[in-house]
Amino acid sequence: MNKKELKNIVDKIVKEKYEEYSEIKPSVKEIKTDTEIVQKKLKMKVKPVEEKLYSFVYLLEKKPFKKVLKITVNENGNIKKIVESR
Amino acid sequence: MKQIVILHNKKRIEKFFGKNSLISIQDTLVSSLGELLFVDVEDGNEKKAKKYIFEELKDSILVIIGNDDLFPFYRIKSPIDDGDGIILTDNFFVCEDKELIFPEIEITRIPNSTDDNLKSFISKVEKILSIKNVKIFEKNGITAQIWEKASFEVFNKIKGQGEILISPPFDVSKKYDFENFTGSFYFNLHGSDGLPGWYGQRARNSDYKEEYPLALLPKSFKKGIKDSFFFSEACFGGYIYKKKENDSIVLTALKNSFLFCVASTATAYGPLYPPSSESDLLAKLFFENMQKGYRSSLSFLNAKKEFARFNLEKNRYLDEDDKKTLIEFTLYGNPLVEVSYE
Repeated sequence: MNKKELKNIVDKIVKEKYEEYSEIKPSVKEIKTDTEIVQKKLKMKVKPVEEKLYSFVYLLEKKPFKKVLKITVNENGNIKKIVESR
Repeated sequence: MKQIVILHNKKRIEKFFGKNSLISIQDTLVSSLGELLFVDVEDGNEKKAKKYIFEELKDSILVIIGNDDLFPFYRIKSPIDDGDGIILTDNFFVCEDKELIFPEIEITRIPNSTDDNLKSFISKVEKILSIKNVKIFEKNGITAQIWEKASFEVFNKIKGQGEILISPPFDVSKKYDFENFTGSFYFNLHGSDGLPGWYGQRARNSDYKEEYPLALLPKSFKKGIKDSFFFSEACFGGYIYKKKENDSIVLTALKNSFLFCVASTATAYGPLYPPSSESDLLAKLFFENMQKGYRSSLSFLNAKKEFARFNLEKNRYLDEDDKKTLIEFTLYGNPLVEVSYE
């Protein structure tokens, strides 16, 4: 899927479940999945991630504090994780 | 026993507290902790000090003296575009990797408040370091209603008798009193860099009127608590930069009733529901390590290492919020406290 298609999938979830963020334009970034150094330190080996992963970050400047919603999605449009700021 | 290394900046300490103040602080630390190694980290010499630590003192416990004015936090760009820009961290001295996500050495910070004088700071240091073994019977906590299930997943794993309050309905207008309470506290609330308190949040289907009730203030910890500790997930819960005592729950807690605490210097993240991830996972791992009988600074180090391992085994990568969790959570206070649970 291209980024526009991914954005449509994520936007749909935001509109349905996280309405307060629905007017926000997200910051979209490809996630770097290289963890070679940490693996070496932990003396462990994990199979490299072959798919591309993207994070969609919605920043809502709201009183009394800002709120952030972050949705991680893979290149096939599968939602991997949804987190919110504390 | 491990070597305890005190990291300080003499010029900054004496500029803040006055001439010869460092000697008084050193005397207090030696009286409380015994044999110590003092390392003066002058401005601009941080990399040199780090090299020395990794070459000669890797098996030590590092104790940073003072707030940012006395010993600056390291500044690193936030891995997430969440408006934070720069994050304050103590990981610089304990991580070899460039991203500062994998700590290898135990570290804590004993911070001053901007309104501390030498006498009040020394008194705080003495009090924080006065106890190394604690018997815990109880636990307590506060969670935002919206994260109730996620918080229960963490709180239920903490040993001790006690309850987690839910906000709303809980807010600062309600009684939050304790009587002879020694225990573990867990807070899963909202916070901000510019506000002293931490806030709840009503669930999306909740009937409560107040969306973000003020749940905790620095003055909330009154009498009745002693020799306790907390883990707070609040955004900026551990952001003590240029704060007066009454402007920070961490600073007030360390002054009054708490031996150590863990909190975040920046925007922290977590799930809405179990399973635990990000801050929730780190909290859970920290309490698990404390419950194994490890000292506070080792529990904190182990929790971060286990956090990285868990996520790599589960996902095969660390994403930006995992990395940020590892960078921003900071231990403040006594590194040597070991807890036994009754």
